[in-house]
Amino acid sequence: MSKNSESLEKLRVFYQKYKLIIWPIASGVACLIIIIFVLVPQLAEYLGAKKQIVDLQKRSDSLEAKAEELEQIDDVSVKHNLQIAFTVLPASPDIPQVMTVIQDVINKSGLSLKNTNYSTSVSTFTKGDFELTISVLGSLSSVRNFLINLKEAPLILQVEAIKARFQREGSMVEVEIPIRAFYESNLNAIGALDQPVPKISDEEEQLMSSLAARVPFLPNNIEEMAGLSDAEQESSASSVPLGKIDPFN
Amino acid sequence: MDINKQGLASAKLKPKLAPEMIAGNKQGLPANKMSINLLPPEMLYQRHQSFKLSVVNKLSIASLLVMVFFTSAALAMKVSQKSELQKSQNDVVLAENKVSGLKIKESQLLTLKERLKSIKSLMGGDSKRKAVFNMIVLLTPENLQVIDASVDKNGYMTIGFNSTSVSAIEALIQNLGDKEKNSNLIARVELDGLSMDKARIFRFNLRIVPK
Repeated sequence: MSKNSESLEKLRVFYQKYKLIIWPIASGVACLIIIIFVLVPQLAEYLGAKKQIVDLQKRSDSLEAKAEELEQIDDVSVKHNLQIAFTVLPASPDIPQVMTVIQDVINKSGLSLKNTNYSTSVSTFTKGDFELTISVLGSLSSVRNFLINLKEAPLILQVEAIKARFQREGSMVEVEIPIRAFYESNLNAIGALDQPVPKISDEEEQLMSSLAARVPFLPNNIEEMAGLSDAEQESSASSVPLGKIDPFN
Repeated sequence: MDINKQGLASAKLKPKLAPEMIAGNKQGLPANKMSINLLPPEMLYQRHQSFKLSVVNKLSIASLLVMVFFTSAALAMKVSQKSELQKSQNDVVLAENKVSGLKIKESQLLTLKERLKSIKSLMGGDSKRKAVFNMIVLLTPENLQVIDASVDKNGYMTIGFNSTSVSAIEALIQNLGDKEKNSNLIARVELDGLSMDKARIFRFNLRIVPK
């Protein structure tokens, strides 16, 4: 008990001695605690949230602009161009289609087809392309025409090499030409949400119109095609009539 | 007791004034008035100390109140900002849904663009081979007979000729060397074996290296 009163007395003396500075120190410490643990974090949070709001508004504006831009794109024209692009560069190795196109170019050039060889060996058949070797007979100018006409074919066909052997009598030449045909299997490209709307450049527009000139036939019902999914559209664009599914019925 | 009222000159009385009276004057009494403070100096000191303490306490409380005010202001700002943030987030979600609704259109456009890029990169890969072959066909004089010709992947062409006239060979080589006629396609022409048989027919091979 006496010990308690003694310590209380000591405390009273201490308070009496330092009462002028105890309160300022206590309030200063309290202020510091409030500043460090409340005001500074709150201020930082406020500034962070303000930045976040600005960023969100920017994102919202850009997304709105993107949606508006996408709405303005002509759906039918895009689908039509896709059809052409998928005809020129199919999604799968369509050998009958390639043969049909090559045969057509040979006929146009005034050559006669002697032989066709399709190689599926690992060395020639790589992912994305395959090779057909054709052997044709005709005049040298016809071969020249063939090479020119091949450039205008509705498929990408690349001449790998040319081997010409002239016949002793007359001006006929037998030419062996390995031709590489291309396809690209990745169908759908999906862009990120914040990615800007892809724009078709003038150069690509020019390429598109040159491709359109190369593709002689496209279905007339483009409006109907506009309602198709990509997979359906692809199969429709690259299909060649091969006859009945079941020839016996 | 007011001394001035007794008719005495203050200047004469000043030196006789007690120090506590001077202190009293310093504590805000009018200059022309003088007062006598009979309180003991300890009490005056105590009063002075308690006045100081009260000022210090008031200042401390005021600073604490200011802090409390700032804290509550910050909290109020946070609350109002939260609703603003929520609104912005809702706007973004709406815009995202709008764009997602047009995803197919965007995907088609992107597919078209990528396919055009692929087509562009694949087109014209064989133009050098074709151009070299077509150019040789054009530049070969009529009286030169081509036996065989081959163009490899790199556009290198090997061509064998038969000719009865040296002037035709000269014309061909001149044509091949002329930059205007060869469309600046040829880097080098190598003559690979020249022979003449009994019938005075020249046989020779040319190896044409494109640029």
